[in-house]
Amino acid sequence: MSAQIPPIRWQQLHPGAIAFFLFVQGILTFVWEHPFMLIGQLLFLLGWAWRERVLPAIMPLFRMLLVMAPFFLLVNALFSTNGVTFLWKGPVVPLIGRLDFTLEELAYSCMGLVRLAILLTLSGMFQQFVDHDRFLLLFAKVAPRFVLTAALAIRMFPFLLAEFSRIKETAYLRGIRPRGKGKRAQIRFYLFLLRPLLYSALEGSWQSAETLYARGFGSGPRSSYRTKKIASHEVLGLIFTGIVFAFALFGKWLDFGRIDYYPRFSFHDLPGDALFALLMVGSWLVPLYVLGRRETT
Amino acid sequence: MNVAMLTLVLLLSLSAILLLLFEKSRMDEKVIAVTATLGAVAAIARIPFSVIPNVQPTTFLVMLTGYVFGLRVGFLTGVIAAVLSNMYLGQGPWTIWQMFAWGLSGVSGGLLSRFFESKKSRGAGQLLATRGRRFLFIAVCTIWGFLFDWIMNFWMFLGLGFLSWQSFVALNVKSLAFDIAHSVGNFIFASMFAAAFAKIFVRYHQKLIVTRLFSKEGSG
Amino acid sequence: MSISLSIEQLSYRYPQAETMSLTDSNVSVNQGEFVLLLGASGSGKSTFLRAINGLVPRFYGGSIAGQIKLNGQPLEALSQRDLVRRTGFLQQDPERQLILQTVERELVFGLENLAFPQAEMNSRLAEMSQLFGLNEQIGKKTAELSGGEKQRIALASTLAPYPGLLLLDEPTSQLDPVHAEDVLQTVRRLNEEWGLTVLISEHRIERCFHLADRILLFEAGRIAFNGTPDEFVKATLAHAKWQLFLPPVTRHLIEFGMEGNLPLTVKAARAFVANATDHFGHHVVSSNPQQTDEKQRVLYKVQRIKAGYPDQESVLSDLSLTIHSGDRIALLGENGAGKSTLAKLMCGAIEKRAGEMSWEQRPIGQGFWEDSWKRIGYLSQNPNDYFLHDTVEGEIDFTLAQLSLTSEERERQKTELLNRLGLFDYRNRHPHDLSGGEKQRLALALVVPARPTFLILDEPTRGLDAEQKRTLIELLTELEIPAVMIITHDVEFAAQFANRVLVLHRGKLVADDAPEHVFRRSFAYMPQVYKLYRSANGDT
Ligand SMILES: Nc1ncnc2c1ncn2[C@@H]1O[C@H](COP(=O)(O)OP(=O)(O)OP(=O)(O)O)[C@@H](O)[C@H]1O
Ligand SMILES: Nc1ncnc2c1ncn2[C@@H]1O[C@H](COP(=O)(O)OP(=O)(O)OP(=O)(O)O)[C@@H](O)[C@H]1O
Ligand SMILES: [Mg+2]
Ligand SMILES: [Mg+2]
Repeated sequence: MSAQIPPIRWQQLHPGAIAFFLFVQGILTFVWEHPFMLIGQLLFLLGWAWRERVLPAIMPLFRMLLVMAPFFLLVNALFSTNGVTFLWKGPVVPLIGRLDFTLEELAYSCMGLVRLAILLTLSGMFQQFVDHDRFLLLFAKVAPRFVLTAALAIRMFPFLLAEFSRIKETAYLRGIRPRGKGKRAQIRFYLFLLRPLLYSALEGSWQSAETLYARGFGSGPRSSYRTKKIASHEVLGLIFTGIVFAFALFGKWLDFGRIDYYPRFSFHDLPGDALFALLMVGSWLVPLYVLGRRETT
Repeated sequence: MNVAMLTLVLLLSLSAILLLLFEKSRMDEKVIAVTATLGAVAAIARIPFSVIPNVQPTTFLVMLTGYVFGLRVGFLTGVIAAVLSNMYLGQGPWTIWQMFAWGLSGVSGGLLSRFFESKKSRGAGQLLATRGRRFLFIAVCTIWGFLFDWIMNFWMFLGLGFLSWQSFVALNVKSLAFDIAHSVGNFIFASMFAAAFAKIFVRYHQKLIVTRLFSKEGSG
Repeated sequence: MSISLSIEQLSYRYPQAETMSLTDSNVSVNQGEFVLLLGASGSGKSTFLRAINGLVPRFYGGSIAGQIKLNGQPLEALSQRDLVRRTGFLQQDPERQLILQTVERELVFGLENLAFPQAEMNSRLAEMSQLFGLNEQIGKKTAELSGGEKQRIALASTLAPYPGLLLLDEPTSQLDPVHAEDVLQTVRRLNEEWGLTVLISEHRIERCFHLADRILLFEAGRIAFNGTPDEFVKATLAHAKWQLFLPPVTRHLIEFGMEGNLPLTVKAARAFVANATDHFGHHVVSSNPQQTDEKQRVLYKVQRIKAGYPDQESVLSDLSLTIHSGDRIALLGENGAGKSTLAKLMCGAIEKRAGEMSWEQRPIGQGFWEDSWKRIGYLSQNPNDYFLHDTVEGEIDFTLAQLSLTSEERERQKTELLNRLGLFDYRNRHPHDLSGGEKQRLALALVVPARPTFLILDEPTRGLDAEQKRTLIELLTELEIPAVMIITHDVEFAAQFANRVLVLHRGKLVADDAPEHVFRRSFAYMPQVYKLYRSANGDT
């Protein structure tokens, strides 16, 4: 959640600005298939995360990736029939086709893993850099009902968690405990306690609803409160983000970062692509610098 | 990758449309409060189970919510449950897919009751009262164990790079053990608790339906 | 913009309810009046307040008859927005009324709903935070506030749109005496300075009786009395039953056979006593029948204990306490002092960090907590947490099944419990359909069958009316539990119940003595009658 101990300065930024930057990065991963471009982007993001000291918070996501990755890599390569550089040729299976490994398939799957890593990093950063409450409230104008529902749920969550642990405690103190040891007994016990939680949660929701009514929600058009206007350097940052993105697309149109995985793995312009990847990383620093320029405290 | 992009965009716009419908529907405060509460409860229910891979009562709770409170509330409850529980268990690109999958399970619950519950039993507040309806609910809930996992596999597959349909099928075959765990879990939750929890929900659903007997009866 | 109110022949019935909750109510309230609603639990006070801001019937449904007019305009001619802009409504439970995550958002939420422009919202926010002294809290998350702070924020956000009419439903039930006083004084100030019309329902009468311009007494949905406080005192001479709704000093003087223009505040009573002939007043009569001076068997001992919650500093520090059989303890202390924490520690819900504990002279080891519930009973702050089944009877059956009893014995105990706690008529009801007082009693019924030696009750008096508080005391006496400790904010209740009073302050016991001694010393926790004699006797 957003309650990190040392405040992260990106959270002070307008949540829309930082979210837009991350979103554009997300779109961009799907523009390329070239390993240079993707690895460049990944390194850029990791470097950023490292500088802001949020890497430890993002790492757990990668652990999950590491568990799943080999499996997906193999399955993907094994069951698809593409590429010409065979590493291993297996039997033909009805419906699925020939089981085989080709260099191309493996390379392509690896590319997929890098892309996944980028997406994971981005979502970790979204988690860390965006003030979720304020982000949500950005949409208060277009979707007040949904925003209110979500905000209410977010507020309710720690409250109901506390309630649940209180219910558990109360049961323990009455001598109601899991019958026997082991996970099964534990789980039965949890489910047993879900009922009182449901009851008191629903009972309480009625009161919240009453408050919503009494405070005029849904009584007609509403205004929405802004804590902060978007600052001029943030607007500038957004513009630069747009420009760099356009530049990336232009590069793609110029055929930079072109690569073919099938039928045969082949680069088109290796030094050019490397140069372009470097250029991209460099230009992404510009909006980043502009966005974070003022130390908002 | 174009297929991945396309699905993502499709998914996002579908969600946007659903949200827009939600906004236009003029749901009143009571429904909002109930939705938020149930979303939070469904999210909390998932947490103690995170030790067992893929077994959790959230799918069941969301579907039941849809069944009793209607598909709109069901969808939103699913969406909220996904976001909230992941705040605890780790947010990631999968969140958006879980939102979608759980949202749909809520919708399916809503559709189920719309087609199979009679007006009469609805009015009397007796949902899931007959054995046939209970079986149907349990069956659909069990199937959702698979559907949910397929949706989740699909995103992994897209994220990694779309190779071929064959490998997608193979992926699902491979993860069969997990899918079975999920749907066995659903089966157990639904068969043990569906009727009892439905009663709890109905109690509050009936409170939501305001009955006005007479608004003003002269003044004297 | 002050608001006057007139209510004619108002009757109302909740949907699916068999009886009317309000019957033929007629009242008119002038602009800027401060009205106190009194009445037993379930007599219709909350319903009345809901009717005035339109929650009933717009939100609840049901059937209504009669007329309500705000400033001469009938209620049904007003839209929800007009109504909400004119009235502010504050319920009992602040936890459920704070909707959003941060205090700042919470304060402007009502303003947003009423489409105030941004500039206006900024200035209102500044105004409110100054008025309530919220500058420190404004950036905080609502979930991190203490109970008292929550209640203040809820009040501030209700007042932000500047309503002309304020409806308060037991706004201080969770607050310690000092904070409660704070909130009520603020309301009074707004009433005086802004001319805000205030209707307030409250069970702890001593706090606001003297603030009121007018008293409405509800009895089973009817307004049984409507008049000024002084008139009310006179009326109680004819209706002895109503004396329960008088402030303790006044009641005290009536008990001494005083008549005439009886005083309502401690100050007035002091003058009254000073002028009276000296045939009374030299002694405070302790109303507690169980007062025993001999300290009996030592039951439970905690010494130099430290305890708290994970990742936090200790809430309790270096606390020592001995419980004897025969103890009737009232544990007082401000919000967040650690009263509940102490209770949880003593019944094993949280672990100590340092110190020693012993039960009946034997140190408490690991195995002790396994079945400690048979020795130490605990009733938590929230009775809802106890209800696991669909009927009252089901709850009791379930509890009795935990004990090793024969089936006849079980039946016998069940009937006895139901009868003793006055729940027999409700045995087939859903526990959540009970009123506050009934829930409390049911929860008690789930704790006592184990026959605990030591019973801890955490704020059992919340939302109970005077009558119910009296039955609670009787019940606890009847149940023959060797030692009882009650956590409460209700000083008057403590004075009636306890033979020993503890005051906890920031995790330390600052007082532990017989009620007379503690009450004489402490201003914040002094029942009215003690206040009276404090000065009448010169000192102490
Ligand atoms: N939502 C409801 N549905 C049906 N009946 C209700 C509802 N709320 C209250 N009642 C009934 O209406 C009557 C008046 O209740 P109300 O809550 O107004 O009492 P009160 O004087 O505020 O009591 P308390 O002091 O305990 O708050 C009671 O008999 C109660 O059972
Ligand atoms: N479950 C918990 N986890 C963490 N901190 C807690 C928890 N419960 C209470 N606290 C903190 O411990 C302190 C003492 O709380 P406690 O509930 O004991 O106060 P209290 O005296 O019972 O107050 P009240 O009169 O409001 O009930 C408070 O600062 C509170 O924030
Ligand atoms: Mg009430
Ligand atoms: Mg407490």
